[in-house]
Amino acid sequence: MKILPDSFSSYAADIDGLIIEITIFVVAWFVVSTAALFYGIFTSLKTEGGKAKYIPGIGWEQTKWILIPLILVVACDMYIDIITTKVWTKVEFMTDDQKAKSVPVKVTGQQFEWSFQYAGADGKLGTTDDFDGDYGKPLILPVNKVSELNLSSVDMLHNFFVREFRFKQDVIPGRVIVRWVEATQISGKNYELICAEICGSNHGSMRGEVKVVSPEDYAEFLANPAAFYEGIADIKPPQYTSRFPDEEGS
Amino acid sequence: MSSHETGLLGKIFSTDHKVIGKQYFFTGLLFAFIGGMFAVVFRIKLAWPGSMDMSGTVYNGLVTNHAMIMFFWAAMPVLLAALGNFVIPLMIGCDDMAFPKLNMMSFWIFLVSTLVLVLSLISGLWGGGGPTATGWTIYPPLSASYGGDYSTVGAVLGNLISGPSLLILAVALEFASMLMGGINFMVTSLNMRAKGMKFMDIPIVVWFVNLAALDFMFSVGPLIAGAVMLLFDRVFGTGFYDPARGGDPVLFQHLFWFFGHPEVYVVLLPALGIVAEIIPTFTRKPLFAYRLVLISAVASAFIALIVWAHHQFIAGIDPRMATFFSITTIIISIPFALIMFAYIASYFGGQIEMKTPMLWATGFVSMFLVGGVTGIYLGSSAFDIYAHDSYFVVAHFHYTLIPVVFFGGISGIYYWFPKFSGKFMSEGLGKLHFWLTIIGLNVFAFPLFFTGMWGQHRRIVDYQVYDFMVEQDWILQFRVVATIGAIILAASQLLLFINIFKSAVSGEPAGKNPWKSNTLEWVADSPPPHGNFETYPTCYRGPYEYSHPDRSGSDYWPQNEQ
Repeated sequence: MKILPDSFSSYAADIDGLIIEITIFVVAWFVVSTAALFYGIFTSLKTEGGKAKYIPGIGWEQTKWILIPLILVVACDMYIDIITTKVWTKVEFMTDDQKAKSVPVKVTGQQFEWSFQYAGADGKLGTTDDFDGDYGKPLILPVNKVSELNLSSVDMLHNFFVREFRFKQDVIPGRVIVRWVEATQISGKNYELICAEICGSNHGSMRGEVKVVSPEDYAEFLANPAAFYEGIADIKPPQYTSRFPDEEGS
Repeated sequence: MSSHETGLLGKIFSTDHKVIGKQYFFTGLLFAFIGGMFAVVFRIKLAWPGSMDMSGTVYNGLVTNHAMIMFFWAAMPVLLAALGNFVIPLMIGCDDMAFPKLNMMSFWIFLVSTLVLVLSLISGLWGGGGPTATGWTIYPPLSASYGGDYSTVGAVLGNLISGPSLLILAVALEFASMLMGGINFMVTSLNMRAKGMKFMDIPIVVWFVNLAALDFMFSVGPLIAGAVMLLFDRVFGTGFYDPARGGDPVLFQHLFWFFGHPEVYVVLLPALGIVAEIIPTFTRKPLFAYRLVLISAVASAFIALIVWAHHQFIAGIDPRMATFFSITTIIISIPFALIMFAYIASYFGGQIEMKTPMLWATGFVSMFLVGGVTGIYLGSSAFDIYAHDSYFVVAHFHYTLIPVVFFGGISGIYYWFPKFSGKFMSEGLGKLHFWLTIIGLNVFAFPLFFTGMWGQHRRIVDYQVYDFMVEQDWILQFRVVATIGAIILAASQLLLFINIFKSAVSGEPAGKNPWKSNTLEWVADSPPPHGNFETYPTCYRGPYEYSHPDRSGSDYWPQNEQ
């Protein structure tokens, strides 16, 4: 049984490593505390004519039994804070080097679908050679290259979530949130793009797909998107499970 | 000692803190039942998607109102209002609350809030959109958009009587009621303590209820402000949260969570307090490190006010800010670790009798450890990039709130029932209830950690939309297992209702002090009359002097005996 999905981005392994480290601490503390609790119970059950010990927990001699473990907790907390901050900084901020080499793409959420805008051959958004991606086709990203995601929404809150990238970010109307991802594997089956923030009645059906392609394919895509789209499959059409697909949550 | 209310109306519109406590308690139980039923229905839909035809709106409505009801109309009235009302005057040795009429008003406003809540649920009957379906966090813009017509009085009124508007009103009324209760608790605890009761003689549960009330007071203001702005956006068409008109939806998230996180401690602290009363009584030894436990709780109540943005790590806040909140969140584990260590240490060297209340209290300690340690994961901002809004979060908070509300709250019911009815509850039924509940909790919530790790996220009515959520057999099976656990958990609560009513009618008489406990409520008759005590007790010592070496012939030393 695989617990985590495959990791196919340059920072996915950092997050997986963090999960493993935290798990070690958490399981260790849980096991020790639970063992202490049950040891305490089963060695202290009522006996005929027995008398409980009067231990009010005053003074170092008594409180050391809880204060020494507490110091260890503080140490573990500090360690987790440090490793967390390292990974957080790596995922959430782009270095200048990454920024210089990145390929921008605009991702827009709206009830209940995703749309994409590509920078074209000049590699810059906001210029004349920008073009819209086709509805019904996946988001195309190049492999081993930093993609600068410009995330926004036209109506509600949505959330851009790709499990394989270990990346998730709310998208908000009225602002553009810039984050990055570097895919590390050409996708066989497309990765699923999930809306992970409730956005209305059909939030559950707001699904997209991400296709990671080789640099040559990506260049071909930018040069002639229509031809490239011809050659790839459509995404799975949205399956509105609602009986009333146009019904709007209020 | 005090006037006795007579007649049926006098008994219903009573200013007696015990009657008001009971009114809160039974109203809370009724809503816990309704909220629980919502959960059973949508869990069945999740496990067997073909079993019912349910739209996303209905599903979101069930999820939203399950959370709202369980939190604001079950956990809050039972663990804060009912508990505070029952135990504070009795445990500090006075005849009633400082402001009995305010106390009565608090309950009746609460009752009005439940009616407005019901109106919001049935608002579909007059075209008001039906139950709120925005998730319990009622984030705008989703919650702010409605109708779009603000031009006439009729249109504005129509916006006002729509489901989410009514829900926001109901929550505001409920908060007004809890504020009145909280003020009463604090004034009573500060001014009406028995002669001789110093601060360090006050039982932990009284301290913790007061800390909870204090946290509530500090945090609720911003939320009310946020809710009023949201209501204005909905009803009058203002643009506080509309970016097109200079507003910002993230503002609401800050106001919501500034309240929303301390709110968890508002129910957690009373439950920790109940357990702190039960453990010494049934181990026959003092609570370990009373002062450290109290200091930790004060620290946690303060830190609780500066962790809120950990709910928003990836909601669009500045990533630099997240580091601060990640650190404060992980720091809050320190006071709670100390409290849990002190509770565990209290067991060592005791003479433990596993009566039903003790079994539930021990269940709380053991299960709350799971909720506590998994909080460390979610305090880590980088892990949250992956886990935010996933079932890992769902599993974590059910492992904190179910121990708190079920195990903490129910241990209190089994512990104080003899005081308030004069009868024992059935031990056999109580233990059966315990084992079914703890099995139900774990079968329900543990699999959700794994489905969350796999990436299953919240508020999705039908997981068949996504390939990854159906392509592995185990994830399908885990969803079914979790549903079976939820059904066991919900169904076994019937035993509590049966036990309460059976014992109230035909329970064994309990007498004044059935558990041989120290605190002052056990000095009064069972059940205590209006006015509580024949003569006001005097307090000579702390609440947990069990098996004291200076006391001969008895292993407990009531606070009122010299």
